[in-house]
Amino acid sequence: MENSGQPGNKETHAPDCGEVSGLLMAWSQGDQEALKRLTPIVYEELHRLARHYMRGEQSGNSLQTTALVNEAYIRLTGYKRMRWENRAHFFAVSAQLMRRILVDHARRHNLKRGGGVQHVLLEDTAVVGGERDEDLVALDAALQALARIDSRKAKVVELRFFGGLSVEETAEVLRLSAVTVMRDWSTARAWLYREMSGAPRDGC
Amino acid sequence: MDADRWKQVDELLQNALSLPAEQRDEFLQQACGPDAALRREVQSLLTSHQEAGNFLRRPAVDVAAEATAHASDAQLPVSPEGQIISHYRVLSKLGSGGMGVVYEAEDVRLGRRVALKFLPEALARDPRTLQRFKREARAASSLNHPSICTIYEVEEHDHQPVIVMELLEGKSLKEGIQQGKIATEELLESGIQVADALAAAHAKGIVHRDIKPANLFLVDGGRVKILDFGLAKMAGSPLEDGVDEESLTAEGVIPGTTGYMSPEQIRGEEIDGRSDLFSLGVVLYEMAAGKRPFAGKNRVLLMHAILNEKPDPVSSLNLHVPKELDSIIGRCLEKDREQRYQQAADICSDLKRLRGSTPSGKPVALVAEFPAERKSTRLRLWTFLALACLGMMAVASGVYWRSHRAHALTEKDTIVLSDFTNTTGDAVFDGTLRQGMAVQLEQSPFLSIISEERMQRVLRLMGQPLDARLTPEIARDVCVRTGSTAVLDGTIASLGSHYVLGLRASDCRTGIILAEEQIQAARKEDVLNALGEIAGKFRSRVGESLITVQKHNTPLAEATTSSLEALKAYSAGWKISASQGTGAAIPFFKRAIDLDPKFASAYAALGLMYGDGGESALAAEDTSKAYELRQRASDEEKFFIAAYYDGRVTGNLEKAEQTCELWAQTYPREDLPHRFLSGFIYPASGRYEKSIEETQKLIEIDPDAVFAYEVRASDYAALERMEEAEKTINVGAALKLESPAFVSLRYDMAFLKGDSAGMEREVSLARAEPAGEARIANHEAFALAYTGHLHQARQMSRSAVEVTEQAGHRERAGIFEAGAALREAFFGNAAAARESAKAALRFSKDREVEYGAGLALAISGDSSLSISLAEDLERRFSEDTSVRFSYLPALQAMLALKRGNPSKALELLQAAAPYELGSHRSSFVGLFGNLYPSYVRGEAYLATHQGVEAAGEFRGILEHRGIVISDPIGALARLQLARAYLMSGDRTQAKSSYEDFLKLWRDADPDIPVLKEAKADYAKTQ
Repeated sequence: MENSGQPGNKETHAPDCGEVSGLLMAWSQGDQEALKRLTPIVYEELHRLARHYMRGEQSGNSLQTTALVNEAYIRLTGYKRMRWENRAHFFAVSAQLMRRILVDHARRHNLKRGGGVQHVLLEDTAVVGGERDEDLVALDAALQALARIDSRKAKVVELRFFGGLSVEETAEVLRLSAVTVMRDWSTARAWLYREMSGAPRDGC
Repeated sequence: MDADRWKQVDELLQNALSLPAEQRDEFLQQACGPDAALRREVQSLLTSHQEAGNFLRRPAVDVAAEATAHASDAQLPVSPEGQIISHYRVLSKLGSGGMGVVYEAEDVRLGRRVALKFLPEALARDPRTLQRFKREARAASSLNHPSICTIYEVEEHDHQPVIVMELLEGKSLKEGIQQGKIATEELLESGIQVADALAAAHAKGIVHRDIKPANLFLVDGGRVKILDFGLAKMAGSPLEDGVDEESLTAEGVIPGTTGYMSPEQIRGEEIDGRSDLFSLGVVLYEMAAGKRPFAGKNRVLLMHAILNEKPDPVSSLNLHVPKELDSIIGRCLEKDREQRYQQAADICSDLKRLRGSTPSGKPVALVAEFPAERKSTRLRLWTFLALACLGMMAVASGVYWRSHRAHALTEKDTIVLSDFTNTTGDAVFDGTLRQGMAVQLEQSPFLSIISEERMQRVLRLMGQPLDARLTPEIARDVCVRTGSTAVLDGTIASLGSHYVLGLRASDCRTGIILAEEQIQAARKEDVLNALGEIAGKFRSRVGESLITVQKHNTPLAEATTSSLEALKAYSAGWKISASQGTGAAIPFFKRAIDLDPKFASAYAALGLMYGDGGESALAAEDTSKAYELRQRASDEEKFFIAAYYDGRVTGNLEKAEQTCELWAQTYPREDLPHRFLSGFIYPASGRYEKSIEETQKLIEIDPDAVFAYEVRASDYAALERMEEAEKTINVGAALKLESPAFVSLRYDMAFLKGDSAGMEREVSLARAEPAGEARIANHEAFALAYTGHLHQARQMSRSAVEVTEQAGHRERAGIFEAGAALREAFFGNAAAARESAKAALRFSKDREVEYGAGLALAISGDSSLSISLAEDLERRFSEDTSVRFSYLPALQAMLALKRGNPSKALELLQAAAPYELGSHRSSFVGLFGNLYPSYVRGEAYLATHQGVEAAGEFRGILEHRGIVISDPIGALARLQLARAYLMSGDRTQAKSSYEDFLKLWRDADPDIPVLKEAKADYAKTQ
């Protein structure tokens, strides 16, 4: 097999799954150094995706982008390769990390661009009709508010939106049924949407 | 809000959501009773729920990446704000998104305000795209109509294209419609303006192609402006919009579908101005009815509706609509464009006539109806522009793709390839292209093509010949019967001197086309490259990640051969091997190699064919050649070649194991690594449980793999879990799986159970097939000898050898003969053993033959020949796992024992310890060799008078009947155990062991030396 040009040669910039997992573990145990080292890896991935985004748009192929997003999660978390003692814990930590880094990224981004104008869109305004464009920073704040009322629903959103987990995976992490996760998700989404859009509400 | 209250809100919300929308109000009235605050809270969440649309639907990293993409796009080398570009002073940014940034600017020369749209660098990178873009934009800029958003000019700034256009303020018709049905007067006014504008454009030969409310802008002051004229042409098709939001975000923007498309657009035909008229009809309908004429839960259903359904008349949905409008819209929406309005001007005059007859009779100032906020309008404006450009960017480059999929394939789906429909008249493409496509697609860790084994099984069920041409119809049937998802049909046709290749994937149950592609090849030699290109596109189209597509996509010419003729022979070889057996395929692979002596896969295939026929030497030669040339193979094929080389040629199972594990990891849907691991790698080192795990994986990949059941049943037997072994066989039988090896296995299982009726049943089954006869005869020979029926065993063995030799399988004949030699040797017929051993060596020098013959010679006193065989094995197979850890230790120890040096023998046998309970290659065909080191060790202990230790060895052999099966040492271990007990002073046990042996051999031929010895020994214990 040696020198046979077998697949498995790592891409030059690909983060090492083992390394990422190790850092995640360290971070979950309170090692802030680990976060500093994880951030550039996530950024790198983000930019890699962004580049593909451009190319994908060029060829009109968003299907590829969808595949890439899945790929990004897999690369970042390495969860398919790693045999973590506790898969659920691992998912939860990954989602937290993504939330932390992406929100920070958005926060800096907004600052740089003078704030307010260049939002990180949570929905495709072009498709929905440009009604509301809110950013990750506002979502983060709204999510914190939701956590105060119903921490489980906030967790569901964190895992699904930031962690990229499916309903089934979220259910596995939180030890809930898939039906409960879907119900939590729909309530939380409505609640967050209202919170972020400043729609009238009754403070009952 | 306290927790209980929130819980109540949550529950009410969920309950309300489970009801149809129109029942929710009533439900909340009842459920909340007098608690109005509670009702309002739930009501407001319900509203948010409805509005939330795609909020949070896409994962955060995707959203952030897209924003980053746009942001980096927005980051022009130097921000143009405040700069003067040509004669425009850039003022402030209106917005950015999609594929560009829009700024408000002042035309210094003319003193008017304009909008500048900076197109992204990405566009500028491709000169052809840029050229085309400029050409189209200039053509569109020639349109001069009050209802067309004017493009003033196309500039360049830092090599970036910049469109200078009319600055608009207002809002889109889409938003207008969202606020409700539109009054007839307004509708007529807008319709007249749009129709008039279309008439002007069509007169210049420019078709919009994407007329929809989002592209119609309601300007303050009552004008309607059509945006992005002509730009959609560059997209090849309009963009997704509206009702398909769900599928859009879930699957991405796939150009070519929208609720506003005309039937001819959907069918992908050439379109003309009449297509715009259909779209205008859809818009008018929506304005009047508040909903679109055609709806569908997903794209496919929507397309179906547009093509086939007749919408309800508008007047049935809106009582204020005059009947005449019904007929105007109806004529716009004619499916057949010949039946439709032929000119936009005709619509325009019909609408005008209707306007003249309506009660108010005067146009309505739209601005009063649609007050617009300045800021949001600007933001919306750029959104629309961006949207149009997004589509514009989807410029096809050489390859034309149309995708109708409702969803991508998943890694659980399997696909079926049909044979290419070849209308070129050139037979070289027959079969060749399907094989080429298979090679390309098999490189994908994501896709799984159904195995040949399953294909054969289904063809049999369908009553088709095994070499049936896989027409699209047959392939579809196979697809449905195997529970596969998609069938992939290919075509090749000539077009002048060119070739046109087509590929179409369709859902075999619904017939819905999932993806379609065409590609041209200028010359015959380019066809293989074109095929590779289509395959790569297809893989990413159906959902494989770009990363694996890029990583595992060796071009076909490099993965196989650049010679079409060689590929044709190779393809034919596989087809013949499936229908007529491996032997018949050999000449085809040989021909492929003659045509391209560097065709690695053809050598590998030939090696496999020889190996299957039991011709190790020939197999080794071709497999080594394939291994040498393995750089000229696809990644997937490289794994196969390396694994087969180590498994079959060097016998280095440690290396083969590593290869197979990596292979399985890289290609999780490939069955072969699991076959190798379960079939011979794990069993060789006695890891039967791991082997069982592998058979499970194999069954998951290929539910019809009879091999998995064979291996699993032997594994259970080796673990002495006979009930599970039997259960496995029964499951296989229930699935109607059958193979010659399965018959032999069932024979052995019946043998182990002492079920002679079962044995006979399998014998008659095996004899029904010519290839099965010799094989089963060898099994019978061992079974007969096991109970001392040596004469009958000899006859049976002789017949097995003769039949095999006549069939040309000399190596297999040699192994059978070596087995006969061993039986004679163990039973004490030294002369017969030497004779058989030499006969075996005349057949073949294969390692199993040399080992069996060598051991028989060592036992029978021909040390010198035996030593030279041991040396030969050591020299030729220095890497071979079984040779190193089982054959040589047993053989050399036996030689040491015969030299009178039992302690040396014991020392030599230490090497065998890790592989003690393994099942070795010799036992697969030859049915001998397992646990031999243990047997020889027992004899050595007897020679050193260590009775207890000797007894331990022989007991071990008797406790592993499922590994030993019908090997003569299984019978003789009883006799040896008796001797060991006697030596250790346990006369009672010794006596019972002697009786055990004599009972087994009660009907044995009386002249067998070991039997005579046994009887004499037993007499002494009396």
